[in-house]
Amino acid sequence: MSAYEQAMGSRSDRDGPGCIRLRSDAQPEPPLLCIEDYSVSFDTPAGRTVAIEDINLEIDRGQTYAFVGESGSGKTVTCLGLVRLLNGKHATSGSIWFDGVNLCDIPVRALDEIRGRRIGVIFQDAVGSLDPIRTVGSHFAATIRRNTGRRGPDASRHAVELLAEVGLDDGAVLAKYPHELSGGMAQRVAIALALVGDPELIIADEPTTALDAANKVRILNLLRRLCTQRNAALIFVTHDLLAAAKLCDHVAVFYAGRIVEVAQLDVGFSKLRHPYSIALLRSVPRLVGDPAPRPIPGEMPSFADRDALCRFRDRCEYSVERCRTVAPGPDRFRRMHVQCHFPVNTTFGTAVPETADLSRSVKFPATAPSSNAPVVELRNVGKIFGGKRLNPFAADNRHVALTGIDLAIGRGECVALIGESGSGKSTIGRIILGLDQPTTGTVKYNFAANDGGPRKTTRQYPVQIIFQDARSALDPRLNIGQQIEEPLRVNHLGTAHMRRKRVAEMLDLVHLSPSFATALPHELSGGQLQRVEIARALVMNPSLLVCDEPTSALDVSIQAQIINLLMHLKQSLELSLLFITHDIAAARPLADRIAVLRQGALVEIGETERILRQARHPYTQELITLTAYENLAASGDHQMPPEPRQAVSRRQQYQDISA
Amino acid sequence: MTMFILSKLSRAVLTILLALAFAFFLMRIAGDPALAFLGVDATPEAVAIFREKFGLDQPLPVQFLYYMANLAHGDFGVSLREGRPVIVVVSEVVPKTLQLMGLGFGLAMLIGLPAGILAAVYRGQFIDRLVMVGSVIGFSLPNFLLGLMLLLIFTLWLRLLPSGGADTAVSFIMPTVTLATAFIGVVSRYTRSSMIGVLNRPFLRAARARGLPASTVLWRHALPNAAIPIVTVTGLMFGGLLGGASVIETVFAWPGMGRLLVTSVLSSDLPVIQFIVILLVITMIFTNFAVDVLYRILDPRIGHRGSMPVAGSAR
Repeated sequence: MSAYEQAMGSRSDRDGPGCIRLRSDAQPEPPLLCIEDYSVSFDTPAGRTVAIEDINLEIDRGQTYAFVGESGSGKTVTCLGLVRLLNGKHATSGSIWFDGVNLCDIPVRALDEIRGRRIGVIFQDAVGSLDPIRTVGSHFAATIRRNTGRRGPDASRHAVELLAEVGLDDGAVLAKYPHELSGGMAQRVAIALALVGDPELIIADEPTTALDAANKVRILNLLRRLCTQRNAALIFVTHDLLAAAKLCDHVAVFYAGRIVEVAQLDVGFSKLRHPYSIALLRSVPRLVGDPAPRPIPGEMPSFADRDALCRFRDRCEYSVERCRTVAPGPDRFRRMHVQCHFPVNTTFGTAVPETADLSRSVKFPATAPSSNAPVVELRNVGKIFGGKRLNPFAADNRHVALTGIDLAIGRGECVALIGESGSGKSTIGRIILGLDQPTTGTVKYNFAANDGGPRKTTRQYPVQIIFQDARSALDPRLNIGQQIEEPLRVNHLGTAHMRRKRVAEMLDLVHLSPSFATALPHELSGGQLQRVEIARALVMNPSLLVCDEPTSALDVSIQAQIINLLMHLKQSLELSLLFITHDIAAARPLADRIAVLRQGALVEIGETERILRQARHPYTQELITLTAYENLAASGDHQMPPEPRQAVSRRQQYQDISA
Repeated sequence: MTMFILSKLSRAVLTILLALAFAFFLMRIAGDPALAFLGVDATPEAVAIFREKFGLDQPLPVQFLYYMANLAHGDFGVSLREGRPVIVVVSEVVPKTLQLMGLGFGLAMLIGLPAGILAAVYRGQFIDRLVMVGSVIGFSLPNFLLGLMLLLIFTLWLRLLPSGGADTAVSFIMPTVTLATAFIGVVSRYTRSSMIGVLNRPFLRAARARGLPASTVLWRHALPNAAIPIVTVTGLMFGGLLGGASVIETVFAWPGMGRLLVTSVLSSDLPVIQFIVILLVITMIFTNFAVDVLYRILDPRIGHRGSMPVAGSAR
């Protein structure tokens, strides 16, 4: 305890230049969590890499903190380090005081008493964080016995209470296996499991990243309500500043292994002052104002390139000579601060009542939907998966994926296909690509002569696709040049020299340097890989590009880069796009028209700004409300959007019976 | 589950019939059993009498039909060599082989499983390397060689253990160790790789985050998930155990089924060979069936696969 008090007392001695403190030292109660000079480095074959460096932060009871940053910024490492759950060979320094105990020093046995009881952790991949061969009930039984000592019917009562608290009223969940749960349900189960010991601190590591817009909002609402009711502190790890603002009253912005800013979020983003925070905010696609998100140029420095100076200096629009020579003040402030020589004095983000603005500020786009013949036209397309099996005893497993889809994509037009997971949007993409045959209806293509491609085009490949997960869509053992060249090579198009030239052209088109041609996929970042995928799709000079959630796995700043790239390509190549996504805001800058898909049927289709301004279908209106980021602090869980269809019907049945 | 068992059972009967027909015709095509049994210098009269006595003068398909008809009555024939019913001859030696196999299997599991788990948990450290080196030596050493080495050391030099037979408890030691060694190597290696795969899965970290101690997480979550590939290998191992038993029983003069099979093949004792083939096939079928049932117990997803909704796959 003495070291802790010493550290607390000496805090004022550590004030450095460039740091702004917004809160006094006077604290009646010691903070729940105090991270002091915490660093983590990993031993890799390439040598020691420092993942996070000198992290300092204080969190009081009941405070909600968002850890915001791009991947590789160190936010997740910090969280896992807090509970000492880091994998791999690593070394840590500094200390983490949790209610007077240094978590870095205590033996693992003592830590087991804290994990689950006083600190609850929720992970990103909810289904993966449950043991696939055990029922939900079995997870609860073990966790409850371990953390509360309750067993038998007493424990099951506790489990049912917790499940009800997270919105799973149906006791049948206990008998289910993880693979039988939807993503949203699994995340609720994971949250309920984290609540078993009634923790004082909840760490949620990107709990909504794998969920679609509707489930995301429901989970955020749930976390907010639970923390308020239980007066638990929350660390919410996310790369989504807007989600952070919905849930948290403080934000710690991570960049390249450091906390560059700690600020309050009580009045929107008005207190953010670090250039990186503001750039990050501008890169988020939104429903009002300038439709094009502003990407942050460049990429985060790799572990090897991180020095003592400001690590954002090369991407910063405000950076001057001083940023390249003098390190900004040391990161020794555990409350509000900005680690920058020239914090931005701005009121950006004060006015964000987006839903209110929506009807006024939006103008219709200049480009009208093209009047010429559409590149592809779907008429009354339906798709049924499965069917009668050879075995007459097997259950009929038919599943209607699509019904009566009428959709046309004009030349140079981008149609965004919006829907929740399972709505059938990827199936439409597959049908257009010819990977699936429609069960009913017709698909008509109308492509112009392909003039821009390499000569000797014997076959045309007018439709290409880019996938969500570029890392798994590329062969890990072929270099980038070979992968881009492959479609040409397998079709015997052009000579080796011509093909190489074409690869260089393609890399240039997606703004990658020609030197990438010899790199292997694992050497590239997620954003660069997505560019490679686009280059590979464009090498055959397609007329139509199907983009299946191309940005949803990327960080916001990179997402903005990819959206801008696609916008540019669409214009310069007169490319038609089918942009499949669940994020209506990400679709907005790119899409001429938006088609909303629900349970395999199109509920609404129209020009983008018309849909955003005056959606006719209630489902579309609901999607827009979900995406518009008002702070939900005041609104309770009762204003939640409806549950997924199965849950709704079950609950209605229950209510009907009980009424 | 009933459908599952019925379909497995019908396939099993077919498998037994095919294996039986294969053994039946192969042994008779490979050479004249009468000559093989009586010797090449037997008189033609003796050969003719022998053939008639055992029905070998009939055309092959007819012989097979007779054999099948007898089988249906529970008559497995009479040993050519001993003149006693096959079922008696074989049932005398089966328990000895089962004992050897059971002990060998038990020993392989008892050492192989913990060794593999330890190696996985302490991956890359000394204990892991030790287990891996041991496992390579174990399964690359031919078992007859190992048996002879053990005989040399413990019987001839140290004079501690009997050279053969199955009379006392100590005579079990060398055959069991010889039989188990290769399988310890296989089991530890598969256990290690399977455990390493599971140890990286996110639900283990999530379980630690809920406060479950490392040992609980290992036994409750890691091992059951790692068990499926181990069960597969164990099932395959069983066939190998039977083959290994033939060699080891010969080396250690163990009065078991493996040795009986070897001597019967050498002397063309057809009914005995056929009966042992039936037993071997039944053993393998039963093992596979047990493995399939174990899969269903270990992994709840396996039984469900046919009825899973497609909706989840759209993502």
